[in-house]
Amino acid sequence: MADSFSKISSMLESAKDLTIEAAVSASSRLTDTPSSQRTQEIPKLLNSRVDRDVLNGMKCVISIIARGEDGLPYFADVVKNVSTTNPSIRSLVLIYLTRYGEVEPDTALLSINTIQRSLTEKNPINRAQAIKSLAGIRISSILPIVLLCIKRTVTDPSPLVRSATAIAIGKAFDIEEIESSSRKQLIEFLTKLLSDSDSTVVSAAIKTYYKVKVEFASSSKIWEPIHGNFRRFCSIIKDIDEWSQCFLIDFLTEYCRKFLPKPKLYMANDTNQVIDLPEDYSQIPFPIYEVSFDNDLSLFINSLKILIYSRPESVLLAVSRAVYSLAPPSTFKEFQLNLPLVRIATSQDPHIALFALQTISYISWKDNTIFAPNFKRFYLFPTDSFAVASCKLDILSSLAGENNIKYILEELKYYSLHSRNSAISQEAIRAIGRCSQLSPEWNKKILSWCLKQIKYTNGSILNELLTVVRYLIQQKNNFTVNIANEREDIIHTTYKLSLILQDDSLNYEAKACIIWIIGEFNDVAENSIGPDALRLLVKNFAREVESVRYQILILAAKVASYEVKRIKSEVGDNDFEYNERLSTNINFKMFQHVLNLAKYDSSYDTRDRARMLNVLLNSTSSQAELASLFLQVPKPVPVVTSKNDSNADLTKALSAYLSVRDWSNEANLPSSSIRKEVPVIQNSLSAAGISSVSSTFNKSVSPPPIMSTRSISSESYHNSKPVAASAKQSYHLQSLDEFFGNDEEEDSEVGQSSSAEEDEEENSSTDESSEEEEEEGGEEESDGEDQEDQYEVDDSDASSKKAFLSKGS
Amino acid sequence: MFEAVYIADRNNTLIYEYLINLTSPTFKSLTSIIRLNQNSSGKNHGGTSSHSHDSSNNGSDSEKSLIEINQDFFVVFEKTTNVIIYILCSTATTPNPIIPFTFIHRLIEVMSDYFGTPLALTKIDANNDTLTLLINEMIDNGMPNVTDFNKLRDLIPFKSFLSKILSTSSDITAATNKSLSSLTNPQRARVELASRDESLNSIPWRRSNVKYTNNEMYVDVVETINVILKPTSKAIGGKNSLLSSNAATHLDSAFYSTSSLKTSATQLVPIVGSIDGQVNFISHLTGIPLLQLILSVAGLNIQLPSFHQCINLEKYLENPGTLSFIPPDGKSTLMNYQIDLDSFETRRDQLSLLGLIDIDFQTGLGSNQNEFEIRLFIKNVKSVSKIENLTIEIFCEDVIEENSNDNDNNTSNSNNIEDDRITNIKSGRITHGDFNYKGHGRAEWNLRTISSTIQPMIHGSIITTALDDSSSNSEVFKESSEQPDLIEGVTGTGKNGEDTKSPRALSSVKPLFLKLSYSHKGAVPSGIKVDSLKIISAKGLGETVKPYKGVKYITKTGDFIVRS
Repeated sequence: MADSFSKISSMLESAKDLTIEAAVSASSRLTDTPSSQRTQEIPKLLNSRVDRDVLNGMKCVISIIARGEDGLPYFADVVKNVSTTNPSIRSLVLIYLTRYGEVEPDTALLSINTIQRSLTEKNPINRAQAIKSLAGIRISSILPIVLLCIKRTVTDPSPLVRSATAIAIGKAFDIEEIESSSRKQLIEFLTKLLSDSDSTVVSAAIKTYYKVKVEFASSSKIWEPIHGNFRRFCSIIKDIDEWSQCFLIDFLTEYCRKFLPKPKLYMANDTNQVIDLPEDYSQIPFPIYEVSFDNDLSLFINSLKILIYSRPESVLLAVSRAVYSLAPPSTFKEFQLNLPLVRIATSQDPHIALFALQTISYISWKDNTIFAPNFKRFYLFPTDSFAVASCKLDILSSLAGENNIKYILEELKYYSLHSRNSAISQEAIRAIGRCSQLSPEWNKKILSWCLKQIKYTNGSILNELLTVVRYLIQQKNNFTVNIANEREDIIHTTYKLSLILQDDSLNYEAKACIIWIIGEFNDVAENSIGPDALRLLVKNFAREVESVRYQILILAAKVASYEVKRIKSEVGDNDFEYNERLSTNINFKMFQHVLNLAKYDSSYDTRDRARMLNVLLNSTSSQAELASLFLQVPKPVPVVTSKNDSNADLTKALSAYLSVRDWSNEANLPSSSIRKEVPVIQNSLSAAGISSVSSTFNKSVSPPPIMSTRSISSESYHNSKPVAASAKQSYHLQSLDEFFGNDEEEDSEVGQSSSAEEDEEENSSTDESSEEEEEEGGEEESDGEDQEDQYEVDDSDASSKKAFLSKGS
Repeated sequence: MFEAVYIADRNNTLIYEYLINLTSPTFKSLTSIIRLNQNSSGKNHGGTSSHSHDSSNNGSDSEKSLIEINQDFFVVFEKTTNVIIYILCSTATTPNPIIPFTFIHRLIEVMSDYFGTPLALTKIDANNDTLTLLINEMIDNGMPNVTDFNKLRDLIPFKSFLSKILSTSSDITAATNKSLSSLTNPQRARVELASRDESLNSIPWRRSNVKYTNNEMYVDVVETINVILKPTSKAIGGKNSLLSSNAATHLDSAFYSTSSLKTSATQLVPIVGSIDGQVNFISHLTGIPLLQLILSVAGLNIQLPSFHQCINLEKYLENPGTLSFIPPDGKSTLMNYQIDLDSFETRRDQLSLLGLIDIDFQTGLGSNQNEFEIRLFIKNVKSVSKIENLTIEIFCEDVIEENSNDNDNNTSNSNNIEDDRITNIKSGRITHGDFNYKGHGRAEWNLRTISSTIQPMIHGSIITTALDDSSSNSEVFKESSEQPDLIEGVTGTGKNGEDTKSPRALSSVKPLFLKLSYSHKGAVPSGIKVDSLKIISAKGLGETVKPYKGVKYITKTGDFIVRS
């Protein structure tokens, strides 16, 4: 029996999908009708007296908007329905109003009174909706009303309404032509909500504050609401919602860098050497150090510790940013923030993983000790996309240190030779180039590996290899040219390259590149290799590809220019002897020969360059220096960085986020007493008198309907005097409202109210009873085990679970 | 912050849009920029997206997920199976770039909770009024507001006319179930009625007034294995006396291997690996129950797990493994964790975490050194009866990419490789499943679902053009002679065509790597177990109600790579 029923219900479940789709076709009939008829049909529905028709009409209007069409033509008909009692219709109407209100302010004003009235409704959802939409209709003329309403709802007993008020404050800021006095007032309200007792309200207030803060970044007073709440925020940071956590961490980080002194570092066991935290963490002079934080700063940083267990990636990123920018790397390590970041970076979601990888790469280039223990996690999987792969390679090359370079290099070599995507291979070779900076020893090893690989690779990978070779040689040349054995290394390398040149199978691009390298370092090698390479190349000049011919020409010029310089320095200004010796010089003769060959080259470029070099080197000795300058100018070391343009936008967004403001000058910091905590505002018990009143009330008394119909009506908008009176009156009613609010909320803090006490007693009694039950369960240990066994076995899938369940019952 | 939400189908046709302001741009005005960017990113990495099907089959066919519209605005998007969700953000107030992505995830969660999974175009279109209400709550004033679907359930009831009928009918079934169950368990039928339907409870992740006639809760422990295995010859392995048992099995396999014994000294060693775990929970419990879930994690180094906000962290930190929580109604992920293989000292421990399948992979066999052999050894575990969706993909060098990627220098440099281009992968002996060559140097051995007692094996060979008859060589020869350059044309052929071939043809041809994928139920590689799941206190749930409990263990593979 039970079986068949569960079957029926599952059938109904599957039928549900079908029927929903059937419902679609029924309800979307209207939106599908041509627009000419629609304009008549929809108003008819909206003006109907039957709620269902109005609802259908509203749904049509909303779906027209959702399809990207204009919903404005129905404005008047929609606004009429604002006074409906049907909650579904009303929420749709309010959404419509906030969307189009500012376009038709006059008609929209008609609805204001009704919305205001719903501020006094008993249902907090309705009140919240009302205050949000009131501020959402961005009409500047109703601003005074909005302000008054906000003033009322700031002290509303329901946290839902107070959160809505916080959002409404943010919306009111967006209203144009807002005066500075009302702004000030709004900030006051917001300040109140920031110190609210309920964490959901604080969450909403934080969001609004964050938004407002960005808009008024210039104002110096913008930090005022934070001072008094700083310590409280630190204590409640784990209770607020995920979005507010991000915002809070972000602006508190900024706050710390503005108002708190930098942490001090001192060497372990030696407190005499104290320095401020440097901007660049690689400049920390002590190998092992200890940190001392300002009390408030350590409060904030420690409050973040619990958040590393949270799930949203955005929060983890915010925490990483805060800890990284406020504390030295040792704190980052102590928090083990590397672990969650690595987890996200290797997670299945490719987009978010990319952000985490970028963050890791950003941090690693500044301090590579943080992620060094995890370097293996950045090994490439063949399934990684190019963006992920290049980011991982970037991290790997930044993490390379004496301890792990052996492993990293081995992996990089594997990727450069065995990757299925040649773009990744190229990146890997670049990464190898970056690793060479570690030490001369590794530079040497990498160089010899590269030379070995030149023979076996081709195409873009070969180009990349040669770039790295060039980079490695140039690096030696730039930094250690004075040391004899380094120079020997260069000569040795160019010699090896010249041997590779003789390999006939060499790809022409590689050939051109090698010829260039030989020419470039001909000067360092003192013409020991260049001329011989040239001699061999000239033989085949006519058979080479254009780019190779061009490079041969350049090589010849460089060899010749070296000779010219040498002879010049030997003979001095004696032009005759200079010409004499030059004309007999074999190297110069080779150059002349190449010039002759190039004269008839098929390429414009080569011919052109040949003519220029001819003028430069064949004329009088006065131009010899110019020629050598021209040909032997030291070239800048190619920058071996990742050519990763595919996610430039993303990198930009992230680096903008990770950069923080500078620390303030310590001399100008205000005293820490400004952060004395402001009292938490308990709205559910705001006035002491009320609680005593409420305690006299009995729970059983049915609440009288609370209606302050004219609390703030349009009357008060025109005349300011009654406003004060009505506001006062509303305050009184407010307190009653609060009382019932207490009753509804079961706020545990309402110790005095008898009703709440009763409730609590009830709770605790049920708790106790359930505990007892638990104990009983413990006694029936064997029984429980049986049950566990049952579901252990029955783990195949959900449907069988269901079947099992129905069998069991 | 957020300026607009757009939902489009896979062809970028708008289905739904929600503009925060009247001034926010419509989707129409952005389509061209979005299309341009999506296409160009495809073009930039044409090699990746069009050729290496392997890298695109994990769902991300476009790498770019963030498009800058202009200085002030950018769009992020996420593709699901049917729809693309776009969010337009303003640069000035969106500092944390992950927030929009997290928001999209929440939106997907909410939509699937309301409209069912998978997200379908028709469902979104049909319920766009509800969706508008939802987004109106989720984004307020451009900031993410209430995004938890449990909380949204309180604020926005979702009951269409038809679903009402359906719910009444399911009420009937429920009622009968109730009456039936009341025979055995009279307390179960007692459903406490909450009197105040307005009151919103203070637990931000649980909707108020949850009522079920059948109370049940399920725990799913799902683990995903990601690993790269690399062959290491025994001699190099060094101090691996620990591994003797493993080495023995490999020697065994070599003994049975029909080809040769010479490569048997190698064994597979993980160079990097991790297990990603998730504890999922489905709660159908009345009232506000407080639960305690105890996981036995003995001997495991669970590195900083992340928790759903409902988990009481203090309790966990006191007793690692104890999760104490008030569950959100419906589906939720309680905990994510990761186990790094690197955190284990010995190789044996590492290998023991790699799941049920041991692989023996030999390459360079046969007279042409182009054959390979794969054997799978499935460990016999009582709780696992079958391995599902077992597939082994064999990847060789994909050469065509070389041509397409370098459009500027596509003349002669790729010819070298074309000599030994892979034309086919053939299976010689195969004990189970199907073997197919998919092109681009990729073959697939599909074993589907097999019982855990068999030991499948395959012996295959890679056919390259170099091994084919000489007629194809002459083609290559011709191709390489088509030089655009005048002088090159005269002599290029002799140089590029033949010389390189002879040394290359002799070297062994082997697959680059294998990718293993499978799933099974009944056990997880880390060995984590649910010790107990108790109801500590149950407000609203009848005292003697014993909800049905279920535990499921699922193992999946993410990237299970075996290098050759």
